[in-house]
Amino acid sequence: MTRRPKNAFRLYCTDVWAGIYTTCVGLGVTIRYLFGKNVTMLYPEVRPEIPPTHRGLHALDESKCILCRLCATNCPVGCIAIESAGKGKTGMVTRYDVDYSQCLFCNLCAEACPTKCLRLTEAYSMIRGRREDCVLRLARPKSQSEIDEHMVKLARREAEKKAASKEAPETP
Amino acid sequence: MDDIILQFHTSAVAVLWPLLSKVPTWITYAVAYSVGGCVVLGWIALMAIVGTYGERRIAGFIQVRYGPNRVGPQGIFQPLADGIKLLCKEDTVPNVANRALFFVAPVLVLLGAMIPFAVLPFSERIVLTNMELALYYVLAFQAIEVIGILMAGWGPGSKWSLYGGMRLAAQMLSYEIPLGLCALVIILLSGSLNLGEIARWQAGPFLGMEHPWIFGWAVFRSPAALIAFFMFYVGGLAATKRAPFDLPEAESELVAGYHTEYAGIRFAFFFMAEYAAMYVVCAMSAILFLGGWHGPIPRPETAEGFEFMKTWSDLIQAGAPGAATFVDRCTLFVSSLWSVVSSNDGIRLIAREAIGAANVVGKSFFLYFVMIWARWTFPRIRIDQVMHLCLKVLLPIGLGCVIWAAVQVVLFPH
Repeated sequence: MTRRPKNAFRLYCTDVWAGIYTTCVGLGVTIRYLFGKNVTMLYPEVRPEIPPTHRGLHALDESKCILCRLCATNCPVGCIAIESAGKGKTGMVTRYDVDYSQCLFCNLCAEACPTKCLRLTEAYSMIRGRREDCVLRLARPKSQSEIDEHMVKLARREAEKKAASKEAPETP
Repeated sequence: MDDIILQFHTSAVAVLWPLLSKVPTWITYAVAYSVGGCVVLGWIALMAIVGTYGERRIAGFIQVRYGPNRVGPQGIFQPLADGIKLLCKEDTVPNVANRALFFVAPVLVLLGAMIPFAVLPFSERIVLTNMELALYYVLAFQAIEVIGILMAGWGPGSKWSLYGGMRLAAQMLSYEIPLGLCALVIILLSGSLNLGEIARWQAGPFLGMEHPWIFGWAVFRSPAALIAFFMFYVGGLAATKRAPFDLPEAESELVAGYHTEYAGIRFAFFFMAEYAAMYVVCAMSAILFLGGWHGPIPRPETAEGFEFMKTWSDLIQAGAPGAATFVDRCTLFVSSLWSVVSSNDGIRLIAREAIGAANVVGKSFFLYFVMIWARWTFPRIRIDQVMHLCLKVLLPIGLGCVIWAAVQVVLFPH
């Protein structure tokens, strides 16, 4: 048995008063939120502003690519696959695939790129329905004839170069 | 409504179509009350729609998000989508269920929520039954819902349901006492159990004012009534098992309480019953304490001695000898009704009733909003705290209010 405190009635009254007071305080807080601004947004219609440093999907500038393959070498998970026709500056990128089922968005590929032709953009939406679609083909698709033409052009240029270098020792 | 039906039967129908007047009056009553019941059922469904939508939207805004806003403009068709979903759901029955109790329970719960609507006035004349014991009737028949929920708790053979049902029975029966005491304050002050009389008393002269507008409301007539109003409202929150008194369905510990095992349309019954009961508590508070239809919007006065049915039946009796064919009689029926409705007095009467209904429904909806507001403000309290509030706080203060009201009635009879 606990002994009844002397000021039990006063305690009771303060309790009741505290109950009423805190009730009003609580209602006041929620009514402020009720008429306040929402923090969520109506997503598909209203898009969030993405900071420019955001690391999203890759973007490749094919014309600047020198096919050094530093990006693929630097990639810690090896999600970049490159195929080319020819080598170096004159080469043509025939395939540049990034496998987003593996990509970490670590940005090491873009940092390694000497010509800054690869960067990670602000695009964040990468929902895909099938596993195969997780691989993004960044290089412009090229037909076989286009590739052949490029190879022929390269070979011709090579031949011209060789001819020039053969002529060269005679000139001085 | 009885006298209106009888008047309609004898003065309009019997004069024009003597053959129809051979129909016994109880059939007329049955038809008229069935129509009235359907209207009430529609109103309950509307309350459930407004309740679910309003609840979710307001909850959203209080939690600084949007809430449902996809189905229709601003999501107003969300309750319909929910209703279709509930209708299409599989109706599961647990193997161990006591099938009779299981199937009867939702019907009984909805019935318990519907019963008060029989006497609940929407305006001075818009009321199904003008019962002398209306207040007593409303308070007494709340027990039907308790029985229904106890059945829902026992029927499915689930411990969660049983806990919920038992908690609810304890809570609802305890809160009947403060609810009754608060109603007693109004009964003492107004001297009537008839809801219409109570509302009329609140429009009567007060403090030397002939038409006291909102100052004639019960809450302004006596401090006891003011305290009783808040206690009635809190008691009503508990009796309709709304937060912070929603122990019977405490989802964090009891899954969903007494409707854990129910699915589909049976579950919807429980929901409709809850929102209907909420509306009843709000409307009762508005009628008992906030002046009923003598609300903030003033109502136009009607001409002295103007009675809708009497004027109409006079017109019919005047035109009846000239109407020989069936078509003539039908035209007379409609044209006389139209002339009464479109007459100056008729328009005033309709405006008066419409504004009265707007007052009652508006005040009820405001209290409804406060219920939702309170739900998303307060955390659920423990069962011992619920009982403490009821038996140690509301009960003594309620008794004090009753004594105050009694003394006031004796010392200052107006």
